[in-house]
Amino acid sequence: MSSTRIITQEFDYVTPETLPEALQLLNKHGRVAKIISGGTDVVPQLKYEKISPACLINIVKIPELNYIKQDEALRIGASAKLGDVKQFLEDKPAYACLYDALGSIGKVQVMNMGTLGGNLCTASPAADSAPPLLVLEGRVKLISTRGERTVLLADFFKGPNKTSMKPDEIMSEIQIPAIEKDAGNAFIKIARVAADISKISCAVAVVRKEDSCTECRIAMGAVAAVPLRIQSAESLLIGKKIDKSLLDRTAKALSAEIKPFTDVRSNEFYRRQVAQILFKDSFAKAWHRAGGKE
Amino acid sequence: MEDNKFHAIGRISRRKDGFAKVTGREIYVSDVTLPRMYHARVLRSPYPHARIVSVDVSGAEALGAICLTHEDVPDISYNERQVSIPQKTYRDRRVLSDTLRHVGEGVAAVAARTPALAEKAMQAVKVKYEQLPGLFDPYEAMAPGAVPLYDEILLGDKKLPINNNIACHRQVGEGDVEKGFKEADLIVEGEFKTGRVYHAQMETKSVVCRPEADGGITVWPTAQSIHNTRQLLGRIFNIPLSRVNVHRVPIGGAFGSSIQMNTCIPICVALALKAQKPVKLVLSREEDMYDHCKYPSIIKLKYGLKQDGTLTAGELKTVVDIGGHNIQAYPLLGCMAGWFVSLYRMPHLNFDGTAVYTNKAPACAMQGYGNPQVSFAVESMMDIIAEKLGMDPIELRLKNYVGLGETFWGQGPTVRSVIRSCGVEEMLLKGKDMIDWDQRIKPEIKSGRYRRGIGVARGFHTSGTGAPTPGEVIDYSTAMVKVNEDGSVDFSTALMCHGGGTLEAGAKIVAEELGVPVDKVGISPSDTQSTGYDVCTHATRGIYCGGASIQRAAKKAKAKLLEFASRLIDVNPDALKIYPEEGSGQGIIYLPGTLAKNISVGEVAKMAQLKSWGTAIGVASHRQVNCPPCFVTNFIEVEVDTYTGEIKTTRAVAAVDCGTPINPDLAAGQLEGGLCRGIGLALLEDTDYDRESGRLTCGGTFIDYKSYTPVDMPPVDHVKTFFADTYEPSGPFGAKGVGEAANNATAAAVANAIYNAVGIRFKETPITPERVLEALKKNKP
Repeated sequence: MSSTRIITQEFDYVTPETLPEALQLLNKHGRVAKIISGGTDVVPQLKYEKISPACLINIVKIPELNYIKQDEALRIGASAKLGDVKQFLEDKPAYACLYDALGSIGKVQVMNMGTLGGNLCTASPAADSAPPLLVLEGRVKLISTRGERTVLLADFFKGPNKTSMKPDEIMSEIQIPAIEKDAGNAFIKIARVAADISKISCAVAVVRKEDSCTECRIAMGAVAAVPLRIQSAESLLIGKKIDKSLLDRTAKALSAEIKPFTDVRSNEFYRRQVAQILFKDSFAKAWHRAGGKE
Repeated sequence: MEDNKFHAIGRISRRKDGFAKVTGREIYVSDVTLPRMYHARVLRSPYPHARIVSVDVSGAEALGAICLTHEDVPDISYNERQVSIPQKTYRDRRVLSDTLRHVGEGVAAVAARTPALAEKAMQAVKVKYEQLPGLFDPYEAMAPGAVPLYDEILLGDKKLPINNNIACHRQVGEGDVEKGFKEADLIVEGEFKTGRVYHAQMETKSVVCRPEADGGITVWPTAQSIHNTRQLLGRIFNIPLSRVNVHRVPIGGAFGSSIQMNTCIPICVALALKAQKPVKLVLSREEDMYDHCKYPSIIKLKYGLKQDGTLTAGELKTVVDIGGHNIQAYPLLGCMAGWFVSLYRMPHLNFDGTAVYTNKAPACAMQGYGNPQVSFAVESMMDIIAEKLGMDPIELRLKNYVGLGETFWGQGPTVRSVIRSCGVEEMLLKGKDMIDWDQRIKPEIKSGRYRRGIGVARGFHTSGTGAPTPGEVIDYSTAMVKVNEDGSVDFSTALMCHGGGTLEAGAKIVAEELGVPVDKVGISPSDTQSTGYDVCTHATRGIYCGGASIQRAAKKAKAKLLEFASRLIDVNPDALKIYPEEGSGQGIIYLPGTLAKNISVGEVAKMAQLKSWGTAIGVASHRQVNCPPCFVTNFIEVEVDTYTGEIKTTRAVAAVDCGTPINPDLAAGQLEGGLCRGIGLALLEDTDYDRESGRLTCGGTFIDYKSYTPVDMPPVDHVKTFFADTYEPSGPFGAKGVGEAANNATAAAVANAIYNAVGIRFKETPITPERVLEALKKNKP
C-alpha cells in the first residue's frame, strides 16, 4: 500500500528562476522530467507512483509565468494561482463562466496552491477550468528552446492526462480572446459535495441578437476522455430563434454526442441523463446574462 | 438557561484546550518525537484473502531495518476491545497473522532510522502469498461451501468453532411474537440497509512506544481507553502492568474508531521491544481507511398494529457484514436489540441478529453503535405506518414511545434501567412549531422541478452502560481532585475528550462542586500509572459516568477542605458553603448569614500546608447504576431537484434531552455535528469494494471518499438546536449524555423528508442522486 504521508520515490529536484533556464532544463531532461507548479495534482501522482520522473522541475519561482493582464485579450501566466485568477475575475462579468468554475473548486488549499496552467496540463476530463476556457475559445502558449506556438485549447487535450505538449515544451500563457458584445456565458457542475471533483460539468457561451442566438459554444467535463466541445449541438442553435423545443432538441443531440462512463463518482446512466439538464440550465443562465429572456 | 442557579454548569466558557488546538501547539501522537526514535511502516496485504507462504526480510535487514513478521510476535490471540467481560469477548486477532483476511491487513512491519529508509525497507520485504477466494457479501459468506475465513477462534479462553462464517448470533425475545402479530389489525414489513461509513476522523491512528530500561514500555497511542490499552499490552507482551505506562494524548477525533486498542499499537510495541529503541508508527489515510468502518446493516423489520396505532408486536432481523475481524459484534447485536426495544413499546417482540465475516475492513463502533441503523429502519417505518393509518407521524410517535417510568435497555438485554427523565414530548411539539410542521403538505400535491419536504425522526442513545447489576460490559470511572495551595484545583482522570468537551465538562463539575471559578480548575495530563481505571470514553458515558466520578472525588476533596477551614475559622464544617468570588478569582468559604466568618479556599489550602495538615484531596472510583437515555429529535427539510436527483438540506431543527447541558455551546455543536454525520450517512457515505481486487473503490483517500461538511449543511441560521428542559436525578448536576444521540435520528429524518418531497420511499442508504434519479424515472406516472 503506497504511502500518502511521504513521497517515497527518488528524483532530482530543480527550481529554475528564469524561463530560459527552465527551457534549457526541459531541453535536457524533457522526456524524463515533470514540471511541478502548485503540486495539487503532481504531488498525489508522485505519492501514488502514477508518475516516476527522474527530474522534477518546479516553476514556482519563475516570475515570467505568474501574471494576469488584460489588453484586448485576457492573458494569464500558466503558474498564476487559481485563487488569484478568481479574484482578478471577480468584477469582470464577461468571464463569469470561468469565475464560476474556479469558485466551484471550493477547496481553499487547492485555490491557494493550484495553478490555472496546472489544471489544464493535468488534462483531467473533469478539470473545472477546461469547459469555460473551451467556450471562451481559449488558447495556450507553449514554449520550448525551439520556439513557441499557440494552440487552441480544443486541440490541446488528447486523452486523460494526455495533451499535445511536446516533452521539451512548457505552457507559459493562457489566452482568452476579447469577449463579443451581447455575450453571456455560464458554468454549472454537479458534484457529490461542495468541494469535489465534478461528476459532470457544462459551460455555455452565447451571443444574442434579440431572440436569436448568433454564436453558441458548448463544452462539457467528465463526459468523455477529454473535456469536450460539442459542436454538433452548437450548430443546432447558431442563427436560430431560441425556444424551448429547440433547446430540448439540442439537449437530446448533445446527449447522443457524449461518451459518459461509470466510475466511483457517478455512472453512465446518470451522466447521460443529467447532461441534458445541465446543458439547459447552463444555457438559460448564459442567455440570461446575455440579456435574453428566459 | 436564564434561571441558571449554577455558576459553572451550563455557562459558556473558553475551552481550556482551545488555544493550543487552534494555534497548532497541541501535541498529538504524530507530534511526539523522542531521542533515537525509529520510524515504522507496515507492509499490508494486497489481497482480500490469502495465506502467507513465506516472508523474506533479509533485504530490509540489510538496510539496517528492524523487521517483524508473524513468526516474531507473541503466540496470543486477542480481541482489541476490552469493554466486555472475557466470557463474552471473541478473540480472532494476532499482532501479525499468517492469514490475511482483508486488503490492508498487516503482513510484516519494519522500523528504521528515517521514514524514507523504513519505506525502502518495507519495499525490500519479499512475501509469497497463497491467494484464497474473497467473500464480499454476507449472504454469500454464509452459503454452504463458501470458503471459511476462520475454522475456530477463542471465546474468552475457550475454543469456538466458526461455521458458515457466522461470527456470532443473538436472539432476544419477550412475550409471544406470533400471538402479537395475530392480534394486529395491520402488519407492515420492510427491508432497510445502511452502508459501511468510514469514521473519517481527522487524525489517522498513530502510536509511539518507548521500551524502558527495566523491561517496561511507555506508550503514546491514539486511544479512547488508555487503561484497556495498557491491560491488553501487558497481556500480549507479558509485562506487569506497573511497567506498562500508557499516556493520554489529545486525539484528533474518534467517532468510536479507537474504542478498541488499535492494531497498529501492538505492532509498534513489538518493533520497539525488538529494536530496543523508541518507535513511531503513523498510519496513512489509506491504511486508516482499510482499518475500520461503521457496522453496516441489513434490517428486516415487521410490526403489528391496532387500527388506533397501538403496536401489538415487533420483529427485527438483521444481518451485519462485519468484515475480516470480530471486534465487538456480539455486544453490537445486543445493543441493536436494545435500541429496537427501547424506541417503541411492544408487548411481544423478537430480535434476531447475525454477524458475518467477509473479506473487508473490519467494522467497529461508530457514533451510535447500531442505533442510527436501527433508527433508520424503525423511524422510516413509523412514517410508513402513519401514512397507512392516516395518522400524523408525530401523533403515532407520541402514542408508542418508551418514556418516563418505563424500562430502557442501555446496552442490550443485560443493561436495563428505569427512565427517570424524559423530554420526548416537549421536543416533538416544540420542534414541530419551529419547522412549521402544520404547513407540511402531501407529496402528491407538489409539483415543479424543485420539491421540498419535511421529515421527522426521533431516537436516543444511552448515557453509559451502567446498571444495578454487573452485566456483560464493564462500566466505571475513577477520578482524583486536589486543591492546590493557591486555591486553584487540579483534577485527573483517564477519561478522554474526543473533541466534544468532556474534560471541559469535568472542570465545570469540579468548579461547581468546590465553589471555585472554572478558570482555576486545571485538567491534569494523565497516564495509566497515575490514574485509576476508567473503562473507556464510549457509549456517550463521558459526562454521565465519568463526570459522576469526578463529582464524587470533588465532594471528598471539599469535605477535607471544609474540615481544614473549620479548624481555622471555628465553624462546624457542615455549616460552611463556598462561592466563587469574581474579583479575587478565589472560592470563598463562608458561613451563610454572617460576613465575619469567611476565608478563601487558597488561604485554607496554604494554611493546611504550612501547618502540615495535608492536602484537600479526593479520589473516587464510581459506577453509575443507571444508563438514562438521552433522547433526540430531528426535523429536516430537504429540497429535491427532480431533474438531477440532487438533494439539498435546507432547514433543520435538532433537539436533545441531555438533562442539564453542562457545556451548552459544545452540546449544541454536538447536535450540529451529529446532524452533519447523519446526513452523510443518509445521502453520501459508504465504502464499496471491488470484488476482483478486494480494494476500496474510493481508493482509500478523501479524493473520492466524501463526507458531508459544514459547506453542504443548510445555512447556519436555518439550523436550530435546543435542549429539552429536563433534569436527570442520577446524573452529575442533572446531566445525561449527548454525543452519539446527536446523529441517531438523522438518516431517518432525511429519508422521511425525501418521501414528503417526492413520494418515494428510500430504504437503502446512501440515497445518492443516481439512485434518486433512477427511482424518479421508474415512478413517473
